[in-house]
Amino acid sequence: MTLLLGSLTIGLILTLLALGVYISFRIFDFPDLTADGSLALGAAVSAVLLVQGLHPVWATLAGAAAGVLAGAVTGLLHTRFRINNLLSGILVMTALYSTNLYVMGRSNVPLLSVRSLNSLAEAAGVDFFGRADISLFGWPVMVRDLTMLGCIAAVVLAACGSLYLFFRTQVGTAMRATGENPLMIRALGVPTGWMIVVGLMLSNGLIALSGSLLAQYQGFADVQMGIGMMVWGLASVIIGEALVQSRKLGLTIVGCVMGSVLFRLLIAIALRWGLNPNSLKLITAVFVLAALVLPSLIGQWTRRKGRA
Amino acid sequence: MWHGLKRTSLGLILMALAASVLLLSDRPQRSARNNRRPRAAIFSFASRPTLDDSVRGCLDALAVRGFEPGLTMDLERFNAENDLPTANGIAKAIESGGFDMAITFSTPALQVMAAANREGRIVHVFGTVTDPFVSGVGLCRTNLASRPAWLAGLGTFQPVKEVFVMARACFPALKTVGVVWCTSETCSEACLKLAREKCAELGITLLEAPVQSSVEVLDAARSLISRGAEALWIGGDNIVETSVASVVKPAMEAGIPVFANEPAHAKAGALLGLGADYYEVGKATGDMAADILNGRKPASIPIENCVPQQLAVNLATLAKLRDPWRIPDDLMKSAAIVIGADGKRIDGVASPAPARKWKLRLIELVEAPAIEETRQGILSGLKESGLVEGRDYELHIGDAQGDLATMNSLFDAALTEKADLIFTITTPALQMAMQKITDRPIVYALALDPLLAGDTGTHERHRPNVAGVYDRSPFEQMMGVIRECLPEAKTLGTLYAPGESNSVNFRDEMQKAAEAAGYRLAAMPANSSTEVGDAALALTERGVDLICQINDNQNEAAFPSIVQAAQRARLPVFGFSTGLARRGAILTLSNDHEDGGREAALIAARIMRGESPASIPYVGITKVRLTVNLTTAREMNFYVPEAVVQRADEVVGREGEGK
Repeated sequence: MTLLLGSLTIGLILTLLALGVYISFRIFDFPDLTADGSLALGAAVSAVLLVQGLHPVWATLAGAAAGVLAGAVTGLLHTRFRINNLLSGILVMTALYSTNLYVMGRSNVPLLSVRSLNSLAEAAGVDFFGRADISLFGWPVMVRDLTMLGCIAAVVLAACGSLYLFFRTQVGTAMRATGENPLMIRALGVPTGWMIVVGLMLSNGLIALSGSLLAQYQGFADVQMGIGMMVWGLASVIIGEALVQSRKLGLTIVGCVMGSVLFRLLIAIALRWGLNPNSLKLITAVFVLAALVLPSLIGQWTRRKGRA
Repeated sequence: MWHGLKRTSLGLILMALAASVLLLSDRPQRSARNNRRPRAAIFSFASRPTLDDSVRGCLDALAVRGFEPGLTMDLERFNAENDLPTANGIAKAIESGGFDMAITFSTPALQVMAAANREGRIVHVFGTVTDPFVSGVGLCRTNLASRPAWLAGLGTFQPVKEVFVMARACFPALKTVGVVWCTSETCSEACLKLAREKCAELGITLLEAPVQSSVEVLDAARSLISRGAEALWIGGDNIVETSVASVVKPAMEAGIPVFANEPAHAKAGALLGLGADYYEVGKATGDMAADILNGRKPASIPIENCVPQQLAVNLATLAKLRDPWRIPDDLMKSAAIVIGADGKRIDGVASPAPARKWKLRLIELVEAPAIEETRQGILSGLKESGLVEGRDYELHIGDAQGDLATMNSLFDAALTEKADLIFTITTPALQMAMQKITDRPIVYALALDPLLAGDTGTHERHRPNVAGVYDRSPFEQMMGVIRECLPEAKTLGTLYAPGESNSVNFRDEMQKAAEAAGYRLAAMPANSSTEVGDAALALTERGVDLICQINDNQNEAAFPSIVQAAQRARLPVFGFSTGLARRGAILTLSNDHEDGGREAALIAARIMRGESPASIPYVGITKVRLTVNLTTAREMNFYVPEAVVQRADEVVGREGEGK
């Protein structure tokens, strides 16, 4: 049960990363490599503020705001200075590595003994249930794990909901059109450059939020924690799209959540069954492949059955 | 809406499937849903080693019997911290707190709890009490049937007679034993009565020297020696026990041994210390509590004397004796604690098996040479400690393959599988463990000093569930070696990786050591392994006399580029990792990571045998290996002094050995 709760929590935290990647890669068709840097940036800023004693909610929001800034820089580099989109992402990501070191003052900030969302959730849970562990359907569960999951789920729900609503507004629709057909939307008088900048700000804000939550959940911020994360985010987006078989806005957002959570659940199963650690990466690759291939296979199968 | 449901159904089904697979794997962990969990309170009078050991033993015994706090029973712990008014308050709170059972440790706790529970509203189990019959709680030695029906427990009277038999076995010609005792202590008198009986039986003359206070102890002990005592005995006497040194010192001057009824006295210089193992006493108490929780009537359990013996032997003392004392082999084998001839404790001489089979989990971040060596050390250390795989423990290894999210899941998996003890290798693993785990022991290896990784406190007083061996390169020793090899050197150079916490920390430590030894340190950052070559070239132009490379993953991987740059500038390279000596370093002084892992495993073994991690201080790796590569030295025209080569644990390319 602990493992299930843990992987759901991690899955939901990384959902925010997946949503960020979804915005840049899918909506804007902008391969934004800033993600690796902004994840660690969110973690770094939040960690430093938490150590200073700031309230965890503000520290978390500040982390997300730092990500928004990073996204703005990438966007401006691309739209104002006409730097290739891949390159501007790489530039900012590289710069962020040093920035993060500078922000933290060292490469690793422990959060074990400071007040963080994790400790707040624990305190709230113990207040609510009256003790530190309860029984859930017969399984013993730490209240802390449960409230942290609830907390993260609420954040993710709020993020998904507001994203959905935002992309249905006039500005949001214009943004989506910027990715789909920039010529057409420019002809309609929408400043596509600004749309991209705002989109990247949104995307990196979500990613930094994800990093901030991850750091608080695992108890430390590390300058290397972002490396390679973007790939997992992208994998979750693709798995999600394959699962829902649709590119409709609402469904893809739900797909992102499902893809990310499912991915972590599958890894948890692999770990629980004690598979050889050396083959873990291979197994995760097989999972991703299966998630990609299965839905279309099932689709083919049902169509054939339909014809018969 | 329907369309949306249809589209998401596949994902939802798969998620539900995955979740149920996970939960099904956990089915055994699911506790039987009984209507009500029993509620018990553990009440200890103070934080003393004997009482803490008892509580720990009690909890272990309850767990073995299926009563796990928080899962199958509710348990609250109380400690009066030596304060009688507090103890009274606690006893009242327990009595009226809706508990089913109170478990008390120590005589005062028994007494106040019994007083508060006169009506017998809750069952009361007691342990770690010298003599319950004289505690005034309604128990009578002569009339065992007359007792409160809600009270059960154990007495633990010191093994007085047994220690005299042991002393006789060590020196069969023993005829006269002296004892200093305080006349106003009932417990002391009770012990003395037993001693008199046993001595009469063994034909030993017992010389007595009564005292009133601790200042008289030294003179009393001297008087016993001058009256011809061949050995001194210390019984259960608080006054004398607090001034053990005053008995041991004159005895050692006269070359005669002291034997005592408390294992801890062996550390203070007594030859033999035979006392009760309070962990075992706690276990016996816990077993009794479990019996009662399972429905046994307290009144049907006889109140007995329970003395699981624990023997401590001091070999350093044995070596200094006048008479031909010797410790028989069977005695030596039964000793739980042996103080060696050098005055240090020898571990694992007697290897009692742990109380239960331990589920061990080892979690590491990635595969790397140092990590593999450490893991190997842990595996061999566990074997060396006398524990048997399969009987005493099972070990599973989890490797996160460098992914922090996966490492999170590894820890969750370990918790779900109810691992009893978790080994961590690498600093992030330790940090994550400290964040996630507070209720079971963590033993770390190959990590930064935990005080730098988020723990607060000192090396002695730290997180109560964490113990282990941290990694710090032997910087100070290295400075000495550099002084020997390059007396004229002034500036040392190293590359570091700003992104690795170990690297930055080692740079700072090296800086301190270098400055203390009168060197200047030029440290050059390199942010990725591809930058290392250029950074090394830049370093060689900073006027360094020697590159002495600190340990980190990046610079170890890119070490050949450092060597190339150094060779171009004709600079020697030293390092802190043994493998580097084969990859272009002339000399390495490294922590023996395998030995670090071994030491961590020995710490784990101590925990499994009942010690608390809280009482085990954080230590650094102690063993270092000096490796010299003479082939590289010759190529570089570098002279390694003969004294250093002589000292080396390993010499590569010695003259006349061929290639």
